[in-house]
Amino acid sequence: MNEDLKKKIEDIIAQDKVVLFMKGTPQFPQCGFSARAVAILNELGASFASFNVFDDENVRQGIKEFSNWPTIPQLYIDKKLIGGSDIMLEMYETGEFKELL
Amino acid sequence: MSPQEMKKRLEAQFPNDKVDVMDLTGGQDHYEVYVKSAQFEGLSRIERHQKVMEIFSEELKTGEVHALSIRTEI
Repeated sequence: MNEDLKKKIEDIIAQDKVVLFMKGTPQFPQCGFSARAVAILNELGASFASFNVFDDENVRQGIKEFSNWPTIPQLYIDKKLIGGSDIMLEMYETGEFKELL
Repeated sequence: MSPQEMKKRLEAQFPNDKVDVMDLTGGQDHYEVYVKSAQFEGLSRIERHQKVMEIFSEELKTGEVHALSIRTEI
């Protein structure tokens, strides 16, 4: 992965405490798993930044290499990968999620 | 990828552990897998999931497997 792409991804991740890489937007998620991720964040009343991977194919592929996580959505809190929608759901159900926010 | 193939791959990585594979849509590309293994000892949730996903990294890259939900237990 070239440096510019890595820098771009890092900048996106750094723009907020909570950043969700997703397909579509929070208002119009374009994938069931992305929609679930947004629903969980909304349920917790978390404010978050989002990035629509359909807007940038390089980021869409690069993020998978960057985090060694092959699917979208991906949630970052304090610049650390938390996981995809299953991990978010699991942590939401165990109450762990609230502690991170 | 067929459920049988997916199960075979998981059993190769997690010999004599409990492994389940569920085709969520019947289209052989949206799966949920469950793995109970001592190999997850000391691994964070995300590390466990990465360990399972790595097995299918090629199929996830090509989109042959579009979605893979994972549940793990130690």
